[in-house]
Amino acid sequence: MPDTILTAALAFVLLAATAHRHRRDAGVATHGQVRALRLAAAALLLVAFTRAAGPLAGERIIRFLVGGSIAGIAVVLALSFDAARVLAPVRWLLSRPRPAPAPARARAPARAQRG
Amino acid sequence: MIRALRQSMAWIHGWLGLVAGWLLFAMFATGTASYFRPEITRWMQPEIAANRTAPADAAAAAVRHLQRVGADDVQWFIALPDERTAVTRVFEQPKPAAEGAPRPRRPRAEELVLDPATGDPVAARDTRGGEHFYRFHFQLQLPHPWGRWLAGVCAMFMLGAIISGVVTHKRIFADFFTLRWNKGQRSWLDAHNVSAVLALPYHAVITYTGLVTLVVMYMPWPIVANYPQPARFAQEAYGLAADVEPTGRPAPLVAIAPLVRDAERRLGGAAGRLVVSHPNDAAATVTVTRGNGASVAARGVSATYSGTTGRLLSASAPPGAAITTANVLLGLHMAQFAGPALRWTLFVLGLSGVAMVGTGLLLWTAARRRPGAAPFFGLRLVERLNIAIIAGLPLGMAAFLLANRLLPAGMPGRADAEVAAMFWTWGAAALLQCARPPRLAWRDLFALGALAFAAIPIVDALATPRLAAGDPLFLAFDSAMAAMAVALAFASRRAARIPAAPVRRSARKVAHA
Repeated sequence: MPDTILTAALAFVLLAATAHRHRRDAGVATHGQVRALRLAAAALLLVAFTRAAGPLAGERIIRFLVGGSIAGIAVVLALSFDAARVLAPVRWLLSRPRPAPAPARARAPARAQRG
Repeated sequence: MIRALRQSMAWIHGWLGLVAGWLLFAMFATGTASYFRPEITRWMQPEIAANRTAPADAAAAAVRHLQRVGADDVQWFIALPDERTAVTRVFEQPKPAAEGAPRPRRPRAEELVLDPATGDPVAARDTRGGEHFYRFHFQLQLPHPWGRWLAGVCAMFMLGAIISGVVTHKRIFADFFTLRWNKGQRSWLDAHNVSAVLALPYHAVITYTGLVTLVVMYMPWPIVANYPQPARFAQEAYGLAADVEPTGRPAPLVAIAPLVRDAERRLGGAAGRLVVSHPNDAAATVTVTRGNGASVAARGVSATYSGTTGRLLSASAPPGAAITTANVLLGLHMAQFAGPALRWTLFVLGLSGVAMVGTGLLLWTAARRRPGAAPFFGLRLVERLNIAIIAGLPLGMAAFLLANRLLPAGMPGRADAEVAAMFWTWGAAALLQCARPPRLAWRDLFALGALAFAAIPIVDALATPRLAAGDPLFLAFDSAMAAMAVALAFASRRAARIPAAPVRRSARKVAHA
């Protein structure tokens, strides 16, 4: 149960980073980053669902929904106190140096071909 | 069109929530406490040690005792102990007195509480225990059936309020991660939204399943129209063995423990209940029902044996889809299948339900208060009722628990006295707060509640040797009471603050924007 709550909480932090209200705190600048964060959050929720198994049939769904709810409330409470600190890991992740983009000259012909 | 629909839904949401809100708050608070019904009962009977006896042995011990005190009974209902319940509880159905015969030779107790290992009656203080909170949350301390009907009406209002609340909230996803503190009415709305939206699956399920739990009582007509006796419906729906008449020929009862072990093997889980019909008669039967820990569904399957030969007479067939659905819904509401971690999580979600109803009630007054204007009568009334319920009920619940430790253990009628302590304290708090201005009344009642909850672990430590022995249940219970005291002290401190300057936007526009 605790791992379901923690994984779901992590997913909700990523989802919160994509919300308009928190994008600046999370350092989200592009739509690509929003998409990537949402995909990562969905993957984490899937992990939370797979790890929520209990000994009884059907208990997985109950554990996932219940753990997800608790995680959601905890994340919102944490964001209400200090959103910048909660989203700092996301900001750090997004601010890491990435491979340099291809030179403009190399991309120009492709853009021209697309019209 | 959409705007008109939202406005209509906002109106419905506000009024449904207000009319049923006070009772729903009490139902949510006591229902949430009921997740720990056996644990509360164990704490309230500190004389009883934790159970270490297997169900089969406990059944055999209970039957030995019943053979001594009620061998001529019509039926014995035996609720077996498990890892959460420390005692065997027995209900006897005595043989009715014949026409003109003298009254029974001895007064029959409503319920026998037996030691699982020895089968002897347990000498423990008389208390309703966690059963009181559980019964109150759907019977509301009213005579049958009025409390259940009223609880059903409130649950229906709650369901309406949930649906209308979702339709009303046009920025349900945009506001998903929004909770702003110290912004007056805006903060109450945010808190109401957060507690309602993020735990929406829980609130919807707990409300709907609460209604389904008593649906046969609320809508008895299909059964009345199709079955001459309601018992026939139960037999058919749940695969129960048909009642048999006693033959009048005496025959010794077979050993019970092997039957229980055989039933546990057949039913795939620990036995939870045992019914012995016509003990010591040639037509005696023994029905063993599986406990609720083996499945999400609340009603367990059962097996019926001959009480004289031990032969298996019948085993309940797997129920149909409708009954299975009803059983699962009932199981989801009662959560008896849940292990400790899931139960604590459900408990926290129950508290979020308490917060949702409480913040909704506070929002109603915050949205109608005009800066500088004298509050109208309805606003004053709602505010006083809010204080009486939201701040007064926790004080009453603490008084119930404190009375358990402070009343003499051997006092006659102490179980009723504990319940009376809760309602007298709650009633007195509700009346006395009217003598204080609202802000100070909030502060004082929350402070009193904090003191009462803080007193529980202290009184327990002084009055109960089990706490000193390091029983983990007692340590956990007293820690939870201390946490409640801290939460109420925090609420008292916040309530004592001078309210923030009112927001400029029109109150009605802000509410459910």
